[in-house]
Amino acid sequence: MIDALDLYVRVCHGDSLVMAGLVALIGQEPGFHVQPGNAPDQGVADVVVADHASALGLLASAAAMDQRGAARGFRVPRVVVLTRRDNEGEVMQAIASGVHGYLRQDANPDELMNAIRHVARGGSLYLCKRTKTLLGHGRPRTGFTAREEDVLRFLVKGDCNKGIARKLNISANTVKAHVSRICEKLHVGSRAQVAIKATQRGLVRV
Amino acid sequence: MTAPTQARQIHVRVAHRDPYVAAGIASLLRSRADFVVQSGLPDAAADGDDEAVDVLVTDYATGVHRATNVPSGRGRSTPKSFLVVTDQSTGWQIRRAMDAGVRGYLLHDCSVEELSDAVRSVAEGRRYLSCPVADQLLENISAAVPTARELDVLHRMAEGLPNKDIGRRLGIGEGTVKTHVKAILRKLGQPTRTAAIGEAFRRGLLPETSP
Repeated sequence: MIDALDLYVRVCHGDSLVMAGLVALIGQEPGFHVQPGNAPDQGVADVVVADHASALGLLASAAAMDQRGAARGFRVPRVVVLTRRDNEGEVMQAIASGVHGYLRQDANPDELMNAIRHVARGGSLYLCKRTKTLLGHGRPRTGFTAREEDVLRFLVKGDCNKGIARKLNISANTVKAHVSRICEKLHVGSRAQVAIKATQRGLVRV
Repeated sequence: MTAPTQARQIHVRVAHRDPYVAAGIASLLRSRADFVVQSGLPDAAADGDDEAVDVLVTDYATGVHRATNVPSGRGRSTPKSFLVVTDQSTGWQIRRAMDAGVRGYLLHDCSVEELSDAVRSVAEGRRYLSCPVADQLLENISAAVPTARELDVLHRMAEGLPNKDIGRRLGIGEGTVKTHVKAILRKLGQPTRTAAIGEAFRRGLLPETSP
């Protein structure tokens, strides 16, 4: 059980300005103890606030440690992501990796403090309003098959169907069929639009 | 009111849309003895005896807007030197800010030393660009610039229109569109139109629209 009065928060953020800002803002909050640190196993913190990349790195190394030393009562950290960029692909990736909260940097500091408390209490996944809207648009999640993802990756780079076919060792007609399915799933009419939409929504890693 | 110290103190105002960046800048600058830091935009207080501000540290949009519309006169309390801290890092965005009169330009991942150097330089009336910013700017200057008409075509390309429809929209022949497209591909150094659109976004030639 965590005492409502004492909460240990670790901050790791790639931008030193944001890092300093988080330390200052979290430090002002009554009962919050804040500590900056980018090393994965620095002290025990109830909640870690991190940028997208640090969060994923932290969870990956924690998962590896958990497998090795589960007996020593190792605790996987509860991580809240605070990020400037939030495309669909990145949010999904973060949730799949096991983050406990995801906030955009335009969420005001009060909301961040509430999210930290919520996550420390063991609450369910916390998403800020913008991120909720992003995921819940009412549109079904765009699920691509593995093969469609292969095609999409080359399409975004600007390869033609024939070129994609050669690289994936399938026929140009098969590529064509995949491209039409991709267009349908993204509700667009041309490959240029596919490339733009897929890049902006972070559905491909370029 | 402030006691005279050995070095002249620099009055800085921090007004950044990102609350975390704002808090970070303010706290880092406050830790240095030679800065006097105030937070928030000056017109929020609207008091005339507001202390003189040497530098306004701000976000991209506010910086460009304020630098373009510097009110004339109105005492020394209105800052006239702007330092932008942003993640808008394409050459075109940097150029736009410089053209508007922004004197300092840093990216969010800059170091504490860069931040204080930048504030000092701008306060002394010099310009300050961090290395990655200067790199982008130089690359932009040396890059081939698409003509206004080519940009029209590029925008339509990014909407996913085929040459025929682009021609119809712009009231020119399909052959002319083709020539423009060829020039765009050459200037962006890309082999295909999809690749060219991607490159145009990276360079900031096309506005990022929310999907």
